[in-house]
Amino acid sequence: MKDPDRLVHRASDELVLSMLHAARNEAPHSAAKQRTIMAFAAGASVLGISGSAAAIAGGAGAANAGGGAAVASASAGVAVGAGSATGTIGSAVLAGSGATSSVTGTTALLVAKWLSIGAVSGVLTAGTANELARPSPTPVVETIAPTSARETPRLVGAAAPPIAHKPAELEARRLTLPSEPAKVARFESAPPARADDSRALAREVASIDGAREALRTKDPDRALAELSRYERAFPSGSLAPEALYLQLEALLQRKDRVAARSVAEKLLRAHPQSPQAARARAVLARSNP
Amino acid sequence: VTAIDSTPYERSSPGLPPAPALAIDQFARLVELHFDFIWRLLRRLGVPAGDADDAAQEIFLIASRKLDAIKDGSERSFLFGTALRIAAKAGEQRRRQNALDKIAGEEEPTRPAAPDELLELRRARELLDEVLEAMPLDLRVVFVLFELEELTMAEIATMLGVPNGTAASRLRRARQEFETRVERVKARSDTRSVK
Repeated sequence: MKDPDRLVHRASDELVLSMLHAARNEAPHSAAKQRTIMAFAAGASVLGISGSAAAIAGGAGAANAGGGAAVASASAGVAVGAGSATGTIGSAVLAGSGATSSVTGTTALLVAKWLSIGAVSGVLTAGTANELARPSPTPVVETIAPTSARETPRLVGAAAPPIAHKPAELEARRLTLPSEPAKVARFESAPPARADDSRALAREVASIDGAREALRTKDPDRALAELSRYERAFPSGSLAPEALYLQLEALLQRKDRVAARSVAEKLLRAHPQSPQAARARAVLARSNP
Repeated sequence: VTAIDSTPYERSSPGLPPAPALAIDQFARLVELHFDFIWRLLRRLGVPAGDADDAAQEIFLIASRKLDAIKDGSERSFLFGTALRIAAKAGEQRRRQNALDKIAGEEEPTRPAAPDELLELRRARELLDEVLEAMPLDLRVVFVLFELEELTMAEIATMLGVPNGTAASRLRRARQEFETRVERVKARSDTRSVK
């Protein structure tokens, strides 16, 4: 039986058409997908549920210097790099020779998903590079070029040609190393990634998520307590703008406008270019006499 | 709504055993394939944009724990069923919260100013959501899947676990409901403009 024509193709009513088009065009921000994948990856890492396979590591870039991180495991790895307001991210994943994912066994294509956290936006942002690579006797290193020309991480020990990257655009490329599968690929401009880093990043995300959840359930006190713990645990956290933004919202929820104003000012000073800054400006504008 | 009720669902919680091992690449592929669909479905089922990201994330994390029990090719159906449950739960919480807010006299959160075009889009979506919310859930779901997500009637019937004829009948009734509700919205706005 043939399906009927869809309304959007046959309706002439302008209101109906505008409603249908508006809904069909709505889409989540790509960061939402990245965050979901990262939540899974972080859970897998923290819980150790995928054994040796899904080793995750993150490297947080130092302030003002693009961070780079790379990780390799015996089978598969995902690196999560966190940049800063002015720096950007370089991340690498190295799939070991003859690698097998713990779950996909010897079968699957390896899809390496790049996740990066930009402190500029305070949320997970930016570049992903999908790479399909069949298990091969030669290890494959894939890198994402930083978005800033300020720092261009180079793989130590790899005769890598300069990365020709466009500003504000992440590019992926792959290098073939002639040597034994390395345990860790290291960038000169950043310390080697450690499992601790990934756990710290996962804890950051969990802490921020906890505060967000508290806010959603209209429990500003719990949100503020969670954010306070976040601040103590991660004084230079990658998600600092998001933490300040949530703190601002929690104080507004608690109707503590004086404190909210102070946090809004702090957010504007520390992260003037962040998306959260717009909210801070709006709050300040509303509270001006 | 039988299919909705019978969908396997278990809320994630720290008390549950750890998720079965699922490679990140598999999970990433699942997200790439179905995230937009699930996210839009949540939105049309009344989940606010600000909550849809988290709700969609929860749905995928639930799926990650269940994938070993889900037949190949049924991933979307599973996600769909879970989304219906999460949306229903979110709706209940929202209604309770709105009622509390009204009692407490809470002010509506302000939204940042947006260009006219965005405002028109937002307004159109709000009207659509208002119309959809007034429709019975079983009709609304079929309407969304067919008219907005462009699934075929056969796919919808499979997803809901109902015969094709039932799905087609629901679509007919959904369209009638939709037209009636839209006319009401238009009549209301005409009345306002006369005033």
